[in-house]
Amino acid sequence: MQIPIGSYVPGDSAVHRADPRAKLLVTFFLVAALFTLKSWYLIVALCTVMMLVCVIARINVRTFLRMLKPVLWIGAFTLIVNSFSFVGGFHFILPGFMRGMFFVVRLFVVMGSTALITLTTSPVALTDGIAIMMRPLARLRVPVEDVAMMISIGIRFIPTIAEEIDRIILAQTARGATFNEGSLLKRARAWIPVLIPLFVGLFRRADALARSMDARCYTGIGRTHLRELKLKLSDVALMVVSGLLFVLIVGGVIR
Amino acid sequence: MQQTRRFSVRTLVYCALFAALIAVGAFIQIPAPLMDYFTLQFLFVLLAGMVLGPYKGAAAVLVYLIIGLVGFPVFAAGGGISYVLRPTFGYLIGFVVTAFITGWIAQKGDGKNRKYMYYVLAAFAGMIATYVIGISYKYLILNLYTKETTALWSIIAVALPLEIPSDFAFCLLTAAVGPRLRKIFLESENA
Repeated sequence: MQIPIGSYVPGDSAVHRADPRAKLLVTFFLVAALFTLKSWYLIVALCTVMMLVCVIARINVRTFLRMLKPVLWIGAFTLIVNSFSFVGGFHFILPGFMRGMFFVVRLFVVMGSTALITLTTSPVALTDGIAIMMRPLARLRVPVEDVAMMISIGIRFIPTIAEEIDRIILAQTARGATFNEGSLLKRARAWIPVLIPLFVGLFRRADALARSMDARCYTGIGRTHLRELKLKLSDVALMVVSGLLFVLIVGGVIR
Repeated sequence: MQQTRRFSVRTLVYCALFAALIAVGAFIQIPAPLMDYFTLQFLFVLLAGMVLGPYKGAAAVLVYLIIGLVGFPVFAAGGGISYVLRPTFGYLIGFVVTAFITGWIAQKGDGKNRKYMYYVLAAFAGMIATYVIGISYKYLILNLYTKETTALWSIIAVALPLEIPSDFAFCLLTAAVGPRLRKIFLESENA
């Protein structure tokens, strides 16, 4: 089973060094602005900016495009549906094609910019950034530090679980189990001998982890970090500029 | 800074575990007759509710959603904040409610004779919740955001026949394993 969780490409560019909070905020502004956008000028401008960031971050073109693969079909489908008319015979319509193209470019920028975050930020930095951004929610009695810890543990668990499932499937196949035969109900039932040992094993692991966290006196309160995130002047500038641009675009000043 | 603590360390680890399971579930693709494949994601969502109970189960699904929205590619087609605008995001929101409802009904059955019936009912109530929220979200996004005017019935007609058979099978499957896993979970809690 292949799980593309390790999409982070280590590097030391300006994009890599930027604070994860700044990157998350800029992407949020970008996606929200694209939501309201109607003009070609702006979308081409934003697309150019995104590609520039790619170049600065020295992201391999192939790596970048691989991140966009899941939306390839949606893009192609929208383009085709918009460009052809079936009313009164089959023809190509230019305005429809342009509308479809607009949608595809927008999808490209939206998906590309979110992909850029995971490509240039390590999972640890990203979770720390999210934890700090969620801090205001602590006033609403949301256990922010706990949620951040769950995210870290959850991400760490993903490869472990995938490995465990593969192992159990192999073990049961060796005992003569089949998974791809018979009716739907039969196939579903074939998973019982996988699920039970999977969960028993995982519960054991989880209990061991909880005990060792308890033994090390983890409480989640007043937790310190090995690498503290510090906002640099450039990060603040980045957030302010993107926020300003966002207001101007949504307010319709730039069009 | 104000700090609140409502989770025990053990709860925290188990929520993380189920969030990871739901993430992995999206990538286990099983070839099925009459359609391309189905994934185990829905099954793990139901189990999160049954094993952890309504609140912790919903918390586990929420953690999964945060992991995906931040940008980790754990959703069926990638991840990132932009996923909110995808028509299928409604199913993911629906999963939170599903875990809650499933957990809530299943727990009513704890300690009763006809426990299995409660788990079956819980699974199907969860399935309906996913469909209602998923389909209404799809309808809203298609009509308001992408401006492709689509009738509600056409979305239902396209989506349901493909999804119901496998989800139906999963409901029965979870109802079969749910009570056992719940028991294992509670026993290890007291150990």
